[in-house]
This record gives sequence, structure tokens and C-alpha cells, in this order.
Amino acid sequence: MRKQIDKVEADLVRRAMSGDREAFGQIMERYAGSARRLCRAILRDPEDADDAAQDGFLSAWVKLGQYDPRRPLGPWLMRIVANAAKDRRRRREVRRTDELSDSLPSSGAGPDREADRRLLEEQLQDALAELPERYRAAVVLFDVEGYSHAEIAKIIGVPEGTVRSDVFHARRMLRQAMEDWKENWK
Amino acid sequence: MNHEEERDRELGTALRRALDPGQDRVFVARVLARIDSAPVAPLFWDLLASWARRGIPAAIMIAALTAFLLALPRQPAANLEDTLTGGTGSGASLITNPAPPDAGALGNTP
Repeated sequence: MRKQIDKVEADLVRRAMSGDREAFGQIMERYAGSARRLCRAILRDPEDADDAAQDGFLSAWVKLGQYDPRRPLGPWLMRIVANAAKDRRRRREVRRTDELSDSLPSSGAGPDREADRRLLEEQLQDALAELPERYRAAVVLFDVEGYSHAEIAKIIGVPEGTVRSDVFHARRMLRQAMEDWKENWK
Repeated sequence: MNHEEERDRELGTALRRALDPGQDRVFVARVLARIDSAPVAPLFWDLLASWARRGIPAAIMIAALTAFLLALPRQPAANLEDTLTGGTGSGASLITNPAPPDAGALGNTP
């Protein structure tokens, strides 16, 4: 099944490399979720994140001729997207004079399931915001997107051992946020 | 430090929900519209950047080579007149001497 998927993807890449924008659109549909989540983990602001993911895909479209089809597409694409997010963060830091405050909604959410879920999401987003950018990217790429430590090392541009350490520390903090949430809603 | 090799599925699922912006199709349509509206400009800049990456080191090498050649000590160029009249035992005397060459010098006089 995986081989079949790779074959489909290889065909899409081949078509996109010859200028077929529809094929590139299908590639984007496969990776849009991962790219947007990664950008959101790095930038936190959803609008900035989408702009960065867009920059990343546009850059990938332009650089498609440099892609080596013998290598997996995902890490190559995510590296471009991660760089686009870092570029946007750097530009934003230059622009911004004061940090936007992330205010949590009031704790008056009802005990229903949807409200519980939203509260967990908010707590996790809050915990993520406390982490250094590299930890956020590493843990999202590992636990959410399923990339290996070696692939993440190439995407982020740090040694594999650093990725392992980043994931370890990020998990410890995020798990604590989840435990707090579980305690509150027991 | 104990690094875990396996994904934490519970944490992964919760994070995915927390970070998922939704509406990927709308996002993809937006990017495709951008590709349609300005397909040439990024290509131009990318191409220019790729040239610059190769061109700058080449220009530095050419400049260094030129500077090296210019710095080499040069002999003053002899002018034609000096060459034709000043040399002794050279071919120049054959041209400038009014007397014909002595054939006896070859040792086969008639």
C-alpha cells in the first residue's frame, strides 16, 4: 500500500516538475495539513502560520527542479516550509515592538465533551508557547507528523542527538499540561 | 536521559487537534491562485540567485588572477629599431649592412 502511495506521489512529482500545477495542487493537498501545523507550532499565530506555509509551497514550486526524486518528498518539502516559517518569524520580530498577549478564554467552559476538548487544546497551545521554537517544531514533526529523528534533523538543520533531546524535553512539558487537564476534569 | 523511540500517540493526537487549522482545500486553492497570478517573478529571482551563487566565486577568481598577472614584474619591450640596428651577430646585420654577405664564409668559393 505504502509503495503504491509512493508510486502515485512519484508520478505527481514528475508531472509537477514538468510544470503541471494541478499535480502540484494534489501534492499540496497531501502535505498542507502537516505544513500548516508545523508553521503554527513555530509561529503560533494561525494567520502568520498560513502565510508562512503558503510562502513555503510557493518556494517549493519554484525550486521543484532542484528536488532529487530518489529521496522522499516529505522531508524536503517540510524543510522548505520550516525555513519559510523561520524567515517570517524573523521578519515579524523586526516589525513587532511588543509581543501580542495570548489570553486564555475564561475557565467557565461547561463540563461537556466539546468544552473539555477545547480546554485541552488551549492548554496544549499554551504549553507549546512556553517551549523554545526548536522544541515545538521537533515534537510536532515527531509525535504529530511521524517523521523520524534523522528526518527531523535534516528538516530543522540540527544534529540528530539534539532532535532527540528536544523531543524529550518538549514531551515532558506537554505531558505535564495533559496531566493537569486530566486532573481538572476527573 | 531516556529518549523514547516510539511516537506518543496520545500526545500526538491531542497536539494535532490543537494545531489543526482545518480547511486545507481552501488553503490549497489560495496557494494555487498565487501561483497563477505571479508565476514568473519568483522564477526570475530564483534564477538570478542561482547565477549569483556561481557567478560571485567565478568573478572573485578572475579578479584574483588578473591582479596576480598585473603584479608580475615585466621586462621593458625592445623597440624595432633597437632590435634591427643594435644587435651584433644577429640577423639584423644582414638587412642593415650595405655590403653583400661574404660567400667565402661558407667555405665553397669558386
